Amino acid sequence: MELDVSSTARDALQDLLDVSPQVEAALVITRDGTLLADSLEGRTAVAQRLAKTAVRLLEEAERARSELGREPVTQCEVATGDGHVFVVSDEARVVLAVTGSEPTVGLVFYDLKTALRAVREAATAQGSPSTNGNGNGKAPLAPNPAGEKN
Amino acid sequence: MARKRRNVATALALTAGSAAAALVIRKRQDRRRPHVGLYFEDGSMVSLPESSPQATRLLEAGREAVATARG
Repeated sequence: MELDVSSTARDALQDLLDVSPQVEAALVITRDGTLLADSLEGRTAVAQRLAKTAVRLLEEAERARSELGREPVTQCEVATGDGHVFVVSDEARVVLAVTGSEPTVGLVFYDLKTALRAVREAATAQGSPSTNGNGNGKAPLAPNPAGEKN
Repeated sequence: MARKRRNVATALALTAGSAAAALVIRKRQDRRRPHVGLYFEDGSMVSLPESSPQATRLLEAGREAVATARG
């Protein structure tokens, strides 16, 4: 079943790369870091490393949220000076993209959310977990620290 | 008189143009400066400067992601 989700994730990433030339690399992972699809053309080890980094970004975003005493983080943008990293997630999956140093931030987020929605809808059709309690598919970027159901 | 007015208009246009150009350059530099944007569930957003401890950790992971992707 996850195979079909992976297939949809691959299509969603391809669509993302087609409409967003700013994106240099992107991947879709589950929240625990399992790779569903990537744009790294067979460089599996690199994709796995990037997946691990995506999980680390999720954890650091949650830590920052906690320290700032804010509500859950839904999206994150890290501008490093020579590149940008974008992370968007729902309850079950995460999309990460790396762009150059001057991306159109709003557009990239929009395209990532579109990709994530496509994967979520495919998963919903197949009965995989994809939505939270209110059914809108929105979820904190990082897992709930209290271990409650997302 | 007309020439004087034209000179004043030219000077004003040049000043306004320079200010606009400076603003664009400044904005572009700001965009290139390392920072972290966190977007919260309520729709608000916080931009963390590079010097904040939260941004420092996220930037470290972000740099790793960029380096890995460009491998």
